[in-house]
Amino acid sequence: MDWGVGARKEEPTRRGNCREPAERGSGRASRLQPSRLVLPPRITRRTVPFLLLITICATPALLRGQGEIRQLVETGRLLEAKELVRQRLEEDSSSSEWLYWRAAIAFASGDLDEAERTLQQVVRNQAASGAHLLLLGEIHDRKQQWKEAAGAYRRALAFSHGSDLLIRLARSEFRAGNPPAVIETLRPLAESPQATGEAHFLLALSLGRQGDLKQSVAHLSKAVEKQPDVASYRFQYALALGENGQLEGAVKELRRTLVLEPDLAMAHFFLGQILHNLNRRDDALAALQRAERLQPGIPQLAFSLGLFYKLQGDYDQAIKKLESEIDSGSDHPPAHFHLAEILFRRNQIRRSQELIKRAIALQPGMADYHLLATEIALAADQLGEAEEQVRAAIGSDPNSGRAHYLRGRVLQAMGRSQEAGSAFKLSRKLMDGRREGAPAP
Amino acid sequence: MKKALLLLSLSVVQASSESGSIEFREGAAAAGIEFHFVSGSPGKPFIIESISGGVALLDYDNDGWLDIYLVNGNTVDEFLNKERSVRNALYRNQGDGTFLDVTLQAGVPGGPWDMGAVAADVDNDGYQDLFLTGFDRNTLFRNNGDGSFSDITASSGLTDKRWAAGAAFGDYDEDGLLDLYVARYVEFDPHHPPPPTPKFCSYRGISVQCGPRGMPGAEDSLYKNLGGGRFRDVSREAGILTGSTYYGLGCIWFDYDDDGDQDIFVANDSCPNFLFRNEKGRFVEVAMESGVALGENGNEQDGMGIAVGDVNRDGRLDLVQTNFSEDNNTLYVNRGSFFTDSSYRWGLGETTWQYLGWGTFFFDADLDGWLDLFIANGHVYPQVDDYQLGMSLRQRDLLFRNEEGRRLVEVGRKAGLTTLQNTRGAAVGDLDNDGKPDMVVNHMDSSAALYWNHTPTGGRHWIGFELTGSVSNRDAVGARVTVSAGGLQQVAVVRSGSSYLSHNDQRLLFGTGNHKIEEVVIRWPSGMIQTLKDWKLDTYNQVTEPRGP
Repeated sequence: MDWGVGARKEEPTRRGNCREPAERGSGRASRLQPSRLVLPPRITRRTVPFLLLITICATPALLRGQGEIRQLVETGRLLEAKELVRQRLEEDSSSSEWLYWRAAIAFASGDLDEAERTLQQVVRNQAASGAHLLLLGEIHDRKQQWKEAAGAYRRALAFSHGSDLLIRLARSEFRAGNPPAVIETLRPLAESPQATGEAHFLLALSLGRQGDLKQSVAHLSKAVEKQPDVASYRFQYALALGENGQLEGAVKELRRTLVLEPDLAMAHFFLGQILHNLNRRDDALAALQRAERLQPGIPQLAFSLGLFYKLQGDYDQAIKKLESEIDSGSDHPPAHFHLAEILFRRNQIRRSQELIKRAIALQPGMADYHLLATEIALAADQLGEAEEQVRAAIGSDPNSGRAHYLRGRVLQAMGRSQEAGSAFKLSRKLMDGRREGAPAP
Repeated sequence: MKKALLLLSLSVVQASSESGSIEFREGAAAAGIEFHFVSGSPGKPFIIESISGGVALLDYDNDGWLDIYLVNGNTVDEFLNKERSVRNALYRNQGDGTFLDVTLQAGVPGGPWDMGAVAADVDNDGYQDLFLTGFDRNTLFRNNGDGSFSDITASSGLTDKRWAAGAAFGDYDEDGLLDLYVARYVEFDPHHPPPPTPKFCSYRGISVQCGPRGMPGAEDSLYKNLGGGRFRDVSREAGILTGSTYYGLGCIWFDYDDDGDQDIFVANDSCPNFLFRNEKGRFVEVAMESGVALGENGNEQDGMGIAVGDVNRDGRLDLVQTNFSEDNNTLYVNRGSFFTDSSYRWGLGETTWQYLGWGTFFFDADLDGWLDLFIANGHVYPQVDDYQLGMSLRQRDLLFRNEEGRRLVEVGRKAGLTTLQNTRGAAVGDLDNDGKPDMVVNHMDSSAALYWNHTPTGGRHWIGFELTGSVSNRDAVGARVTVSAGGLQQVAVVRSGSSYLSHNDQRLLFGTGNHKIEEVVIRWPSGMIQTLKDWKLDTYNQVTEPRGP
């Protein structure tokens, strides 16, 4: 496969869009292997020097007879390179090769708009090669214009189906929130033994978002197998296992993740949550506390700790953590709900009422929220409010025995004994009906 | 104990106003009680292995000293082979702080797998008989009056073999004979145990014994006492068959609405509770509308044991129910026509959250005039010890000191309740007749404990009453005594069967602190109101129901 400007001939190579380094006879080229570029999406953009990209994509045809400019760019002498390109373009302003270099130098200088304008000119002239489109895609990536980047990479497919290009395309599609496109792009590649860890990784995340958890787990497993030392692959693999109910496996992978990246607070956080589900509460608490020490601001970490303490019956600690979650500006409705419940049990009626109202405002239609609001209103002797809340609860869950019981209590407090009696009767009937295994009443 | 009524003059009590700390010291072995309660195998694969273990405190020989009856279980293997290598035990109180095992002489070793024990003079002959609930067999022992008992189950009409848990006697039809309520748990056949299913045989993802959810519940029974040790099942005609077959464990008779007749409360496991209001001998189930069916938030709880007492001294009887772990034990405060779940407001909610409660009773441990509360604890699943769940199989029992009707504060550790055990039955009674209530608890797969009350009274006084019915049932079960002192009233009722599968001292004991007693009023089960003119402090006053106005 030739990425040279104007070249159309395609020939398969083992490494995708660039020739084998050995073919180029450059020791430097060994650092330019595509596999080096295969990094988790969040890391790629910050860690890959853009000049490497230019160099990779500009070889070899593009550079034929252009050794001088290549040298200038590679040695960072961009002003000289820019001047040289200007001179050449004065001679032939429509030269797609020199326009490429003008864009590349603008890109290297951080002038992304100029780089994009230049490349768009080539595209308009219908003279764009794979290299132009790849650089254009990279520029859009840098500008976080994921859809546009994906568009450029997709057009580049006309020149090559190399794995690096496919992964770039998939990465942009993923960031653009288009999992089906990622799946379509990577599925054939993933079947090949050459598929990189990142290919499996991106495919897995997209499959996960499409609800295919089983396939997602399978591809994350392959990603980890291909690149066992990438912490983010292991982390995602662990989360997928956890979501798939394979809690022990998730714990194992999270522990391996933490060997690779001991300070990955999110891994401690999820480890804590999974250990809690596995009834290893001491270890769970330790993990959550480590996450808190490393990154106290993880969304819902304080909530998780608060809920943990609430389940343990340690209301003092639970209040502290849930307050902290809410004070951090979190609009997590369950945090408001659980804190409201604790404070209500501690007879702090007014504050608990404020909190439950906020929870309801944040997440309307939750029967449990309305039921707690009913209890609080009853305790505050606000019978009208209690009636309204219990009505809302029944509206959300008409078959809730609890809701009808509380309605009975409200009606009873209002002196409407007959209606209360009917509500109690219905409540018992609903509760009995839900008691599986016991004979129906 | 049945002595002549003491008619002594009113005493004005001068006592220290200090509230001393409560103190108990365990002394079972030293007192000669070496009772090992066996209940199945260590892994407890079957539900039957987790439920048993009652305690009864009764004066079976009428010598004035409370004796102790401890209920044992069995193992599934032995049960299936119709064997039982363990037995229940009757310990005779020798009056010197020691007890003698007289089980075999008395003839009360028990049935194939007993659960609880309740004492009642069912034939009004002046001697307390003994009823045992059990699996596959209940047993009624008639007290022969000579230190021995006869098994009269076959002729008693109490031959229903369905699994019975709690039992309590009360005279619901006011005919002077004690009737019997039996709470039944589940239908379970150890020959054909239910196949394990993840849904009904797991706890927090851990495989554990199956049930009660997923098993058919069993209907409770009400037996009318026909006299002469014979009973008739009147469950249907009396209205206690609601159509809902719940998992009954604890039950108690108490006149919750103070209308003079005996109502019934049943603590159901994993289901709403029952409260049967007595309407002239027929019962109407009113738990929902009375506020005692569910927890405050409308959730079904896992009722086990029951205590009744006037915790806030407003003259109305309040109710405590023990529940499963990760749920609070519940204090229902009686507001007259309904109850309010006040568990959290009284401090019971948070403290009991991690404990799995069983036996429970109100008693005035420090004689300050306010009812304290004891709760026995222990898990049903030994498997919890293999995980970090924040709970263990063996748990500490709890003792709540009543802070003058404002709050219950847990003081158990300080009071000497420090050991971790898997407790089930628990009973309270004054075993050494010193006016300070002692406690006996039955520890599953371990030795029973006797807690002597060593609380320094600081000059606080007490008054006890031992009532004998004449028109009413002879045990005076259902009689209500109101003691007025210091501008407040204390109320206590004679009962037969409460706590968890257990039976407390039937004498009524009031701590009076340093207050002068102003009035003592007895309302007998017959309806007669008697205002005592004379009484004596720091002793048990024996009162016989007058026959006429």
